[in-house]
Amino acid sequence: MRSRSALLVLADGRLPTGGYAHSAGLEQAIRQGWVNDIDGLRDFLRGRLHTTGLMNAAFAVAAWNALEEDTPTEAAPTSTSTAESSTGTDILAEAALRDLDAELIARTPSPALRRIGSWLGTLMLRSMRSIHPHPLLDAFPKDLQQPIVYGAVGRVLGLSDADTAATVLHEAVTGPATAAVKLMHIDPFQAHGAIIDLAYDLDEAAERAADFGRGDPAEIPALSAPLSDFAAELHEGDNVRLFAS
Amino acid sequence: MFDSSLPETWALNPKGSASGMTCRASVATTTDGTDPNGRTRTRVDGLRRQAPLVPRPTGASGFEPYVDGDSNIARVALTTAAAGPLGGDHYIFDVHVGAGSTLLLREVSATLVLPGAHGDPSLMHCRVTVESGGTLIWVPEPVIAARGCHHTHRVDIDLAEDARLFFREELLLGRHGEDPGSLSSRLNVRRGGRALSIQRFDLGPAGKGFDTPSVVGGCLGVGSVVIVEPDGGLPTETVIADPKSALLPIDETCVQVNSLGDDGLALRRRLDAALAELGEPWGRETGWSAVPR
Repeated sequence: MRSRSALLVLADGRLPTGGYAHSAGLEQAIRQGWVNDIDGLRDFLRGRLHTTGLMNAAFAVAAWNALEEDTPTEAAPTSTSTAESSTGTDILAEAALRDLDAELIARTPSPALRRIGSWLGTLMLRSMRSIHPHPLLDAFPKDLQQPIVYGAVGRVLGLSDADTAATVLHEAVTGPATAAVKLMHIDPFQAHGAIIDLAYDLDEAAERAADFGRGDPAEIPALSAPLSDFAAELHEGDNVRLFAS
Repeated sequence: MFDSSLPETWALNPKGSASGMTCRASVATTTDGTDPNGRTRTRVDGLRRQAPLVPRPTGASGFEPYVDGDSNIARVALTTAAAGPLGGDHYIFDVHVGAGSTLLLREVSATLVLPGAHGDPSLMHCRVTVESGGTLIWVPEPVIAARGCHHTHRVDIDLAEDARLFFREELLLGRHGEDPGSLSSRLNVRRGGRALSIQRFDLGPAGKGFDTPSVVGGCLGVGSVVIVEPDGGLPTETVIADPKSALLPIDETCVQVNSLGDDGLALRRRLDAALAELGEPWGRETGWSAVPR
C-alpha cells in the first residue's frame, strides 16, 4: 500500500476503529454551557488541538520512532504464526513502548481519560489487525493508550512520522466537530468550516508534534487541558448521554 | 503551544541578557537525632541566599498540611528581597530534603512576574530532590503573570520511592483588571526516576488556545495540588465537587487536585474546599479568613 492512500484511509472517519462513539468531551461541554454555538465549537477545537491533540500526536511520533527502522510495511501472513514470539519482540522494543505509555499516563490526570485512551487503543489495534494483518500489530501489547497504537499503525501503513502526527490531530478535531452536528443546532457545513478554519493551526501543530516526538520522550510537553479533564469525569457520572466520552 | 522563542531549558545565564540577572538559592535539610518521644527531628543543613531569593527559617503558623504544628520539622519561608522575576531574570532554586527529614516550605508573598525594561523571557527553575523517607510540604503563594511578561516557571521534583509530597500551585492571569502576560508553568513529578504527575499550563498571549472551553475557558485562576503518600489511604475514585474542580487519583499513592477560578479568591476557595473534602491531615475546613491559610 502506498503511504498517501494509506494516510487517507487512516484519517477517514469511516474507518471502523471506534472513534465515532466519542465526542472528546464536547457533549459534556455543551451540557455544562461552556459551548453554545459555532464560535464556541471553533474555540473548543482550537484549544483541544493545541493541548491534548498536540501532546497525543507527539506521543504517536515517539512510538513511531521507537519501532525499528526496517519494519516491513507489507503483511507477511505466512510467517505470523511461527515467527510471532521471536520477531514480535525484536520488532517491538516493548519496554520502550511501555515507557512511552507511562509518560503519557503521567500527563493524563483524569482516570476517565486514561480508561478511554486505553480502550480506544485496544479497539484500534483490534480493528487494524483485521484490516491489515501484520506481525508487528499481532505482537503489539494490548492495553496501551491510543496515541501509542497510532504510532505503530502509522509505521505499518508506511506513513511518515509527521503524517502520523497529522492524522492524530485530524482525528482530535474531526471527532468532536462531527459529534457537534448531533449535539447542537449547527449544520455540517458550519462544523466542517470550523475544521478548515483551523487548517493552518493543525499543520503547524503536526510539525511541532513531530519535533517533540523525535526528541527525549521525558521532555514532551504535558499541555494540560483542565476543562477537558473535568468534562470527561463529569460525563462518566452522567446517566443520559449520546456519546461514550 | 508556548512561543518557540522561549527556550525549553536554559543554561545558567547563557550569554547574559540585555536586562536581567541570575540568582541562585537553595535549601537543604537533614535529620537531627530524635526528640524525647523518639520521633525524628529535622534541621536545616544548608541555606544559600542571593537577592532577590532569600529563604529563611520560620516558625509554625496557621494550618499546615500534613505536619500541622509539628515542632520537629524544618520550616523555611522563601522571601523575595527585590521585585521579580523581571524580564531577562533567571532564578534557580534548589531544594534537597535529606533521607528521613521533613521540610515545610512556604512563601511570604505572591510572586508578581513583570516584563522588566525590555520584556525579555524570564525563568524560575526549581530543582527538588526528596530522598528516601523524606517529606516535602510546599505551599507557595500565587504566581501572577502581569501584562507583558514572558515567564517560564519550572518545578522538577524527584522523589525517592517512599518519599512524601504535598505541592500546591496557584497561577493568576494578570492583576485585577489587567490583561495577562505569558506564563508557562511546568510541573514534573518523578518517583524513582519514573514519570508520576506531569503538567504544563501555557497561559496568556503565547499559550495558544488557552482561553477556550476545552482548556481553561475564561478563568483567570488555574491551580493544582499534587499529593504523594507512600502509605496510601488516598481516595481511589474521582471526587468532582463542582464542574471546575476535581480530585483525580493518579494511583494508590498519588492524587492530584485541579481547580479553576474566575479570580484568585475563587480558585483558592475551590482548592481549599477540595482539600477539606480530602480531610486530615491534608486539608481542614478553615472557614473564611482574609488569609485562608
